[in-house]
Amino acid sequence: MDAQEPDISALASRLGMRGVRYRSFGNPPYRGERRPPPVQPNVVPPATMPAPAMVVPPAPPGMVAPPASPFMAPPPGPAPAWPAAAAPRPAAPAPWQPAPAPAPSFPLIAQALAAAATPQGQPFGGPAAEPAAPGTLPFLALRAAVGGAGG
Amino acid sequence: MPLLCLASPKGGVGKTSLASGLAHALHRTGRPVFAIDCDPQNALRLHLGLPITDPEGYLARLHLRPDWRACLRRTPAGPDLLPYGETDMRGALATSGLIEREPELLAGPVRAMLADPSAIVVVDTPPGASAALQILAPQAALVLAVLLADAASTALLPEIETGRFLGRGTLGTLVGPKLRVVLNQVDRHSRLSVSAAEGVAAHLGARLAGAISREEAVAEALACQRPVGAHAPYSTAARDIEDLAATVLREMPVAAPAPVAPAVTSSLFPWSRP
Repeated sequence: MDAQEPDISALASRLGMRGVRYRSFGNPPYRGERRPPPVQPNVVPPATMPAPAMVVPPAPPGMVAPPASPFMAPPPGPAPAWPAAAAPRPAAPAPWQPAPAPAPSFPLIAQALAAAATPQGQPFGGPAAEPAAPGTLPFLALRAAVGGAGG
Repeated sequence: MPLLCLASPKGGVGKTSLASGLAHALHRTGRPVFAIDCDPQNALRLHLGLPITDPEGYLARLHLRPDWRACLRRTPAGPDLLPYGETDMRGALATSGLIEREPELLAGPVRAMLADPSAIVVVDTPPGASAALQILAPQAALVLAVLLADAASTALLPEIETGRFLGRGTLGTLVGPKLRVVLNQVDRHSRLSVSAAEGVAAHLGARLAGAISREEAVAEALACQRPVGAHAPYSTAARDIEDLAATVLREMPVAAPAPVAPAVTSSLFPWSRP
């Protein structure tokens, strides 16, 4: 039995577990006619994607340069010589396609935040009165990674 | 005695989500379903659609000896709910001590709900050892221990097998045969999750009552204050919970709902509002 291709049905039948369904472990059946489109391989022509060149700075006089570590990330490559491609314009939906679903709203999230903002003593200080100065926010690296603005 | 207790040796396994999903699925079979929240987190009410600003409940006010019928709430999701109520750490500890000293304060309402032979009572207990589980497990037709398909949950299997979780001796003898396990948040794209699920399934055999897929719809359902079966009825998780509800009904046969007039039902069970 392979962990990536579990044969739970065979396992269940060997163990005599009749009546218990392990739908979770198998691929979910698609209902109705809405099958996801087949995945198109994202193939980039090799001519447009040059491999980044590893630039090793020369060792100072009298010093020996350490061998390059395989775990060291290569420095960023030079800027591409060709102009950046314009962002693709979103294609207009075909008339037979259904309208995109509206963004979901999660009422409990808003209600919980509103309830938490209601003054009830708040021994832990309650919501922040004003935004903290840049650089003092917690999880700065995470914020930068997510939002790119550092707060 | 169709009392169904949801328990877990550890927290954070989605026990309350599963309790709400099961209560909703069982209610859709046409049976009267009562849900009781014995967890001081008081979260079952949110899953079933009661407002977050509603602090009322039963166990949190137990020191005042309230009439439990007055605390019973009809939820938008369908089942009647006896919420825990809003409390703090000191109140939760006091309640736990009180029902340990006077178990009838909890066992009595459950027994009254079970007087209707077609009714099903779903109880959400706090994680780990709790007075509520100790009191109700002997009355239960089934105790569902909820685990995740991961290493931490698998490491707790010995807790269940040795009786350290539900008790040894007389309690273990009473409860052991009624114990079933549910694997929650099984991720079929995760090698670890599938491997753990396979191992647990092979070990437990028929004692594994079901497995629920890990799906975003479950978390979104709470954010929308609906059971997943109402929020995303065609999701895999919702259908897994339906399967689990069918298994539960097979394991603890419940009398078909009696075709009585609502007025008669109301006089017999005045807390069961139409």
